Amino acid sequence: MTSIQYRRASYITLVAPAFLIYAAVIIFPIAYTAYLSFVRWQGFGTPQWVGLANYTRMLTDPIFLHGLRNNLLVVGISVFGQIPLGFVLAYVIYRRMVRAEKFFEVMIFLPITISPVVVAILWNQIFSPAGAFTAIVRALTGNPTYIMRLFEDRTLAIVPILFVILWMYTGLYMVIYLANLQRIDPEVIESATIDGASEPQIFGRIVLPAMVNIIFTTTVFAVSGSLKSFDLIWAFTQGGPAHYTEVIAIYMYRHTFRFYNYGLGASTSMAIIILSVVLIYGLRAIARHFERRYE
Amino acid sequence: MMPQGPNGEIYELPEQVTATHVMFTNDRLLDELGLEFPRTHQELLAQGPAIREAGLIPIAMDNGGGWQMQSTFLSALVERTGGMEWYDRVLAGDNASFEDREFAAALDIIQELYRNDMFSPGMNTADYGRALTDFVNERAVYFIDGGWRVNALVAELTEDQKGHVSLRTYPDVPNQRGVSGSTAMVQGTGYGMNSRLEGAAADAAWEWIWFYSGPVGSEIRQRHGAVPAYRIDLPGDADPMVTKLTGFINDTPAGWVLDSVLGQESMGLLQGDLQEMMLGSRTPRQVAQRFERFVAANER
Repeated sequence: MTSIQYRRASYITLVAPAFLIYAAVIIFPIAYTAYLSFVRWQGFGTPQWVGLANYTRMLTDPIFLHGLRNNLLVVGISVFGQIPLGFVLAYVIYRRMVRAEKFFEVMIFLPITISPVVVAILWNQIFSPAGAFTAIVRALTGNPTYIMRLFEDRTLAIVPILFVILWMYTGLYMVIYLANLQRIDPEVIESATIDGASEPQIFGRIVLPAMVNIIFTTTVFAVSGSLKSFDLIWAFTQGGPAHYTEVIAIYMYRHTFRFYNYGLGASTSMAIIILSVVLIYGLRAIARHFERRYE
Repeated sequence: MMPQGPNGEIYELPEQVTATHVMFTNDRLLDELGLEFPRTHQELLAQGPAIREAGLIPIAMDNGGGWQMQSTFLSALVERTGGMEWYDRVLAGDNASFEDREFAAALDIIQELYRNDMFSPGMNTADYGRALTDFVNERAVYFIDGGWRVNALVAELTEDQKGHVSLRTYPDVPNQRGVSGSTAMVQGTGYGMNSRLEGAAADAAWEWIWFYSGPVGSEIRQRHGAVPAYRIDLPGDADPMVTKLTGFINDTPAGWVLDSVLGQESMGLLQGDLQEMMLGSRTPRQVAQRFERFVAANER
């Protein structure tokens, strides 16, 4: 065996197991999902090729479109809510702008340690028609017939869920940012302070440039996680009432595992993948722009 | 699966019968309010103000899951407004459609009750069980749910309460074509057995099926509020609620339960649309039209 052949064989031997595992758990499921999205299949019998019919049905279904709108709101609250808030909280704790910062760190991080199902049940007890929110408003207004009806409004039904998502996941981003902030050399900030830099200058000129990469990474997590969001919302409302709080992952689940429409479920799954890729590439472009700015 | 009949039929002996629509009534509250069980839909609507003025819920019902309204109320209403002859024809698509006035009339009744605040407030977002809690705590005069709720009522109601809770059905509706006092019923499931089983494995399977479906299992299930298909007498010490349910099943005429004769996807569409109708985003006509189109394209 020549040296080149030996290197090639070594390369294949080392890479093949990882490639096979990757192909089995990533490439094959995506390819199979893509195939299923073009067929009508109920989980048994021979799949029937239907071309783009599943995509057409999905894109003309008002429930899917409302679910997509809800998903984009979840993405919005994650990217423009959790991430800035998590960053600000991390910065406040890092710069010791509050006392008992360890206490706040634990309190803010705590929700992420609870199972989403438990969180959903907990908040459901607060926002349900006979829940704590109703009881508090009744006590404050003296109106014994008041009922929390936010979920009955098609436009606003998702708002309590967005609030819970913000409450639950902000702590995760705070901890990630805090860990990265602590990697910044304290002497740099100390020197800047001695040189008379103000707090906004320290934030804008030292901290932010050092954090661009991690902000991009966490934004990718937020976007992909938001598009897949299922467990919390399913346990909270199951997408109801009248699909008002439905997101596309629930739409996919309902059609695949309740109605056995594997084709429609697969096309919805492909929509999630395509949306994720488009949004993440968009984010990369934005991140590159900021990287160049701070270089 | 091995066919049993000459034409490939597969037979099944259901283990029990379930009534999906029961209008549980707190007779003591009715008496205290000076009311009687209404004979008609209009009489029931007329009771609403008096019941609400007393701080009570007229009809406790929760529909957060969406299936409750369809299974425990609409199915029975459709028999009332359409009659069984029309009900059979619409399912088969035989010169009948869910856009007919018979189906729309059933939807109109639900919408009228909802708009007149006859149901539990916030019913479309309520978890399954809240209406039962309201009824058990005597905060509601009527409670619409399935006969299976007797199991919970056996445990939750006091002996005194059991004396003044009766099992009835929705009163007569305008232009009624179905049977007065009817409910909706569905046969339960039955155990299947692998036809290739032999020897000890087959004996064990039969032993389990006979235990569960025969006199021993039927008596156990009866004590917990089921009405078994196996013919056994009610024990003398049966809970009053079980006795009432058995009488209800024996004496009440019944129509189809929609979710037992149509597919899950049709029900998913209808149930979501029923909620939207109550919340004001769809009219009964739109609900009927969408349902008919889907059933015609996928179920007939």
